[in-house]
Amino acid sequence: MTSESRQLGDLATQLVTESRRSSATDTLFKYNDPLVRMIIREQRGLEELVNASLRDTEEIDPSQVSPSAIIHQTAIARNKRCLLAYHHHRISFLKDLFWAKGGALSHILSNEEIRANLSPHEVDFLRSYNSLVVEFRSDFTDELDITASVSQPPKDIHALVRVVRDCGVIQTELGTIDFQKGQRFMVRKADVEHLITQGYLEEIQS
Amino acid sequence: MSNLDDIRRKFYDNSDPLALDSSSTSGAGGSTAIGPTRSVSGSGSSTAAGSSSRNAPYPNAQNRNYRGGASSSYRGKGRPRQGGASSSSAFASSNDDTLYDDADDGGNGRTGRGGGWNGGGVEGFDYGQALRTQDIADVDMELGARAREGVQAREEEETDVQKLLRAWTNERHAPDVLPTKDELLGSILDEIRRQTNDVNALRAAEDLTEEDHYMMMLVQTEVERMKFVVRSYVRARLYKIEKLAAYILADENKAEMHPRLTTAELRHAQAYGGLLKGHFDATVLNHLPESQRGMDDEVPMVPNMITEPHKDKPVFFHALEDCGQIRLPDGSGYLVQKGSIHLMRYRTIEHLLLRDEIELV
Repeated sequence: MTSESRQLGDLATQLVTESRRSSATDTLFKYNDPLVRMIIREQRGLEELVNASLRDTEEIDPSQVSPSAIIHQTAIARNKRCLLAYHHHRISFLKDLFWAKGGALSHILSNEEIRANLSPHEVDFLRSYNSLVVEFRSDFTDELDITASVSQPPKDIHALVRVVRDCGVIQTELGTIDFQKGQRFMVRKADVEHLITQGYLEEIQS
Repeated sequence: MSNLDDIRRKFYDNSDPLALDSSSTSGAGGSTAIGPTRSVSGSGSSTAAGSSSRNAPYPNAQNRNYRGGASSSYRGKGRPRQGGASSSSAFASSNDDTLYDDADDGGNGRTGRGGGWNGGGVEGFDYGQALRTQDIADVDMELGARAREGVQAREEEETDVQKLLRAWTNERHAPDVLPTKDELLGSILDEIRRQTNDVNALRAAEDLTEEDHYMMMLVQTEVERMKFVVRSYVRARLYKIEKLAAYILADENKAEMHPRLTTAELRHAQAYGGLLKGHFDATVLNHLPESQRGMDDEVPMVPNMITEPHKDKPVFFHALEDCGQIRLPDGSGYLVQKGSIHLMRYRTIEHLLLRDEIELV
């Protein structure tokens, strides 16, 4: 793979296309570390080119800037923007996933598919973001849990659920209930909401 | 047991238990017919207290000084029908009799005026003539003053729930973070807490009929729905704050944006901004040469690195007052009458939304 035959900014376009594909298919791809490293290397190369051409023109005429310096500088700015956009896109994806799961960080991190696609920095970000949200949430927990579902307003306080995965003994308003796989229960929505979003229970539409 | 009987009577007497379904229909119009209305959140007199605690986080809701502390109606709309002017709720420390007398006078006075401005449009004002002969500025000033009166009167007559619903829809439609309504939220949260406590107390009673059970279920469903609205409101704000974190924290926007956030939200914005910047630093910026590490590049023909609120977004809005002439981007004026619905850029009508003269739909 020769680098001479590539256009400036090609790699950056590849990154951005990957982000687009990711949001189109609603999946998170593996963190493209090699591509990111290549772009950063390209940045360094470009920076040296710009410095070199600025040094050359300085000797001739300090007020002028050579066109090649402008081109390289534009390429630098574009690459940087694309890099940041790629990372920001992944972070937004992770945040949406976080809120969709009701703020259950451990659930996300224990999910092998997702965990394999994250870079260590992203895992750190998720952990810190989780603690931020927990702190914000603590202002409200007396009355309500802000990480619960906001997709549709509740029509009923009770829900008929079927157990998909064992979750053990859970404390509810009606007492302790032992959820075994395959059983059906009529429970208060507020108690089991987090179990529904994490996939342990399945709500039956009746 | 008298406590429980009082609670029971309170739940039964209120003729429309599900505020979410009925509030939009029987709102201000219905209440002027019934009689003096008591607004739980309080009107102009208590906004002084409200604004001083404006920046306090929500846990202070219980200590908040607002008139509704002794209200016996948990929606602030009906007056106690047990007779007697003072609140008969067993939970109330009814040392607020004088306040209720004030509300009575205010309510009676308002009913008289309420009939007047409830009729659509401004009476006796010929728009055609105004545009031809009077100076536009004069018209605007007069309409502006009337609009402010209308806003004030409407604020005093609406229930908390209606205000919350309007704040919620506005927040969801607006591309920018709107000023926080945290005293409204505080009183709603207090209502929720009070109602859950009442229902829990009632559960302990022995002589519950089947009707009582149904009633309690309805009351609880309503509480769940109100909690949903509060949740959605808070999350909508949080989403926008995180999206605009860099914009909010930038120095030049401080004076405009910081008063719109609660202290908790501001703290979250700062922490989140730092977190995001740290992430960018660790993954990208620290690997780049020194000169490329800024986050505020200005490149021609490329949008700004700091995401600004998208104020050119078109929004539908419904005019609650006569807003007079609005200046459109091309310089022409556009007359907005009370009760009309229009589609415009957010930028042109932002100032009206901040004054509460319109609502987004």
